[in-house]
Amino acid sequence: MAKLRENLDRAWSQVQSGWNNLVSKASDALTRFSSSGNEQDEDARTLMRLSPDWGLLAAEVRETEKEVRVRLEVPGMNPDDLDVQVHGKLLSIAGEKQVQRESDEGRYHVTECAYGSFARQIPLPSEVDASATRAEYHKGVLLLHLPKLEKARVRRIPIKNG
Amino acid sequence: MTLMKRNPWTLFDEFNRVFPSVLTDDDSRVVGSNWSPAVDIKEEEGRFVIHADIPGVAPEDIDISMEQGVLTIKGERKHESEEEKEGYHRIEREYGSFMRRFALPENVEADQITASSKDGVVELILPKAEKKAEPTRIKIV
Repeated sequence: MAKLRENLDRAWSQVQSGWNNLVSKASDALTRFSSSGNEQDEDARTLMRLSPDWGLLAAEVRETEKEVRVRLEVPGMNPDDLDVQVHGKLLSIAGEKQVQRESDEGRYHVTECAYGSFARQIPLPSEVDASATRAEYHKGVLLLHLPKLEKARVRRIPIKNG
Repeated sequence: MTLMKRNPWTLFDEFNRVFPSVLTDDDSRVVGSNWSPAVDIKEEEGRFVIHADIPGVAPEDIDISMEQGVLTIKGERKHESEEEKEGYHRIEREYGSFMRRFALPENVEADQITASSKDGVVELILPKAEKKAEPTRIKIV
């Protein structure tokens, strides 16, 4: 009996560590979506009600010598509905994914896509010049080029041959 | 009974609640693909309308097919450029192949399916096949 209990405990702790790993990997991307309540028609309201309150907005942060490059997956957005702000070393991206489609009456079999307002904060690896930030939006992916501040750049010191 | 200190099923309920788009019971996700896009499937009177969030994938890298009542959406997300291999501080995006499969409850006209893509959302329109007025009778000779 003690042996069985030990095995069960071990199996359970494995499940737990797998779960913790999953949470740590995904929880940052897990973003809360909330309805703004201004859906245009009945169908949009239905979809908003059925859609999940959480969605995964996967980000990617990459640092080069001169800039920090951030990619965020925000499919189906109008770039005008995105609000990007930089506070020190914290990037905030807020937006609203609206239900914008022409549709007839019908019934939803599957609703997995999240709709509504969201906000996500992403820590930046170094200080950036927010005023010189360049933003692009292609195929549902927001790409931000955030130039690093001069003082934040790594200086390479050349070694002269004596 | 003290053998089971915690009930693991509450964890799975929690998981399903928190990750509704990761685990669904429609059995359509295929083991072997790296990720799977979230979809909305709506049935209207004469058609099905499917929206799939597939950000960062070019339309030419998405393959849609219909066979024996099963719709397959698959493709691959590629890295934007080969040089971008270093300097990452955060990687949450999944690259590589994805696949979803759906058995549709009614027949659709496979050759009438249309697909379009905008801002990383693929829209599929699947017109239903016209119902036959009379069921075919098979005579027993």
